[in-house]
Amino acid sequence: MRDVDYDVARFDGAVMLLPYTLRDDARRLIKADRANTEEIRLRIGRSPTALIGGEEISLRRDPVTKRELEWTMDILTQASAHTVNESFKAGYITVRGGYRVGICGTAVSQNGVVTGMKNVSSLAIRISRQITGIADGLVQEIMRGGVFRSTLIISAPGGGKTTLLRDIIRILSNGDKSRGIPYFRVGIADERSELAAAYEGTPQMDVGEHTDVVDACPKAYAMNMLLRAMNPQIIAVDEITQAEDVEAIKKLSHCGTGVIATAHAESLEGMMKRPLYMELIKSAVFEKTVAIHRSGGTREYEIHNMEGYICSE
Amino acid sequence: MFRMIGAILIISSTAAWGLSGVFRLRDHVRTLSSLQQSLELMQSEICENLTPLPELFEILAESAPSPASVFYKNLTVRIRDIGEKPFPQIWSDTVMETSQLVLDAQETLTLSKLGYSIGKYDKDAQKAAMTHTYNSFGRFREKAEMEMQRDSKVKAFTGIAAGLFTVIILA
Repeated sequence: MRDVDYDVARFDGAVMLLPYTLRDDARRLIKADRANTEEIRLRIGRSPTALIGGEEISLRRDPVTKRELEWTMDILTQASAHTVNESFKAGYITVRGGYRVGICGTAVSQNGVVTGMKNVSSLAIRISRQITGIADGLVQEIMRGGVFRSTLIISAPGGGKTTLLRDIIRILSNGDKSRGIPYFRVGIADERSELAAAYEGTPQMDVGEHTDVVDACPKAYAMNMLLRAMNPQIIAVDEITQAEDVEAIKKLSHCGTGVIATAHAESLEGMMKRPLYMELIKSAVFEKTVAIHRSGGTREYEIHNMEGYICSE
Repeated sequence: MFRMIGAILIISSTAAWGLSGVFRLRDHVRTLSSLQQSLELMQSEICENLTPLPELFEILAESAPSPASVFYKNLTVRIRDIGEKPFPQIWSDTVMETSQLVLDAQETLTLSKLGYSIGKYDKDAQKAAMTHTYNSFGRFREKAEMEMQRDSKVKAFTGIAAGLFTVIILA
């Protein structure tokens, strides 16, 4: 269920990450736009923009100055860029409130390895929003007899995979007696800090009472760490993209750990055409797939098992 | 009787003027020494422990000698306004507005400039800036200590002598 006040509050939180010279420009947006802003983008020498419904809306005529970009970096890092070195190399940082900020600039490399970045030229502040309850009707469908069935969520980019996965994690981790769902120990391999959005170790999103998070760590490595250290019943991972991720997931299934993951694909058929995902499907790790389809303003979830059916959000 | 009281008052006030000069020299040395010590700690906290600046300022407010500790205490409060002012300006304003720091124009400028380098991504550049400031403050301190040794007795003597001279002329 969308909560407009919450969505606007998330936007306002992102605006507080900007220097005061930019805040008023962002606040001039109407309420509906503030609620729907996905990103605030700052590019040196260009107007600052808000990404709303796939379109970039200019926030003011004056271009963003180098000073404003450096100032924004100081706000994001509390004037402590030296503390976010590793994340900075990867091209993003996660800041207080769970906002993920993409960074572009001049890469500094030594012996062909990127060791850092200087002269920041663009920033994209992503306004992630937790939508609680969207997976309420879905979790029962991916359980059978109180047992979790490993599930793969698929959709096109921007389809809402991460948001759905986060809500499923929350429900599985808390359990729901009224629906006959027991609670599970869930481990999250959160490479890009998007699922739990941990800031200084504390998840900024509600990912449940029995959830352990390894973030800012390659997914395959994080999955192994969780398996060895935390004895999870389910491991959640966002966006499988590499062969190592597939291998790590296979290993989890051999150990009897449930897996819930996401992948970019328009449909199950489209997915089967890609060798990496085909291998994953053939390995029979996943017993269920949930395909997200956007239809107008709503999302539809198509669950594949032995039989497919559609349930609406 | 009134003459005696007047003479005492004149000599006391000129002596106080002379002594304030001596205290200023002493406070100048204390300021430079405390800042230099804090820079040493700052360098190890930033380069080795990767301590965030707000936390670093709290540590220095507790552990640095006075009056540097007052400067860092002020920074712990002012850094919260980072959305209103860029950090180098917050740092520079705090240098200028912490009255307990006794610094001349060149020393103020050197310390203010450090605000443009600390807390940045480039660790080597930060380290170089902190080392430069540390070394500069070492030189400033040596100069201030020599000045104190050379001038403090002169200032104290001048204060008392000026009072006595005034009393003799008026008598």
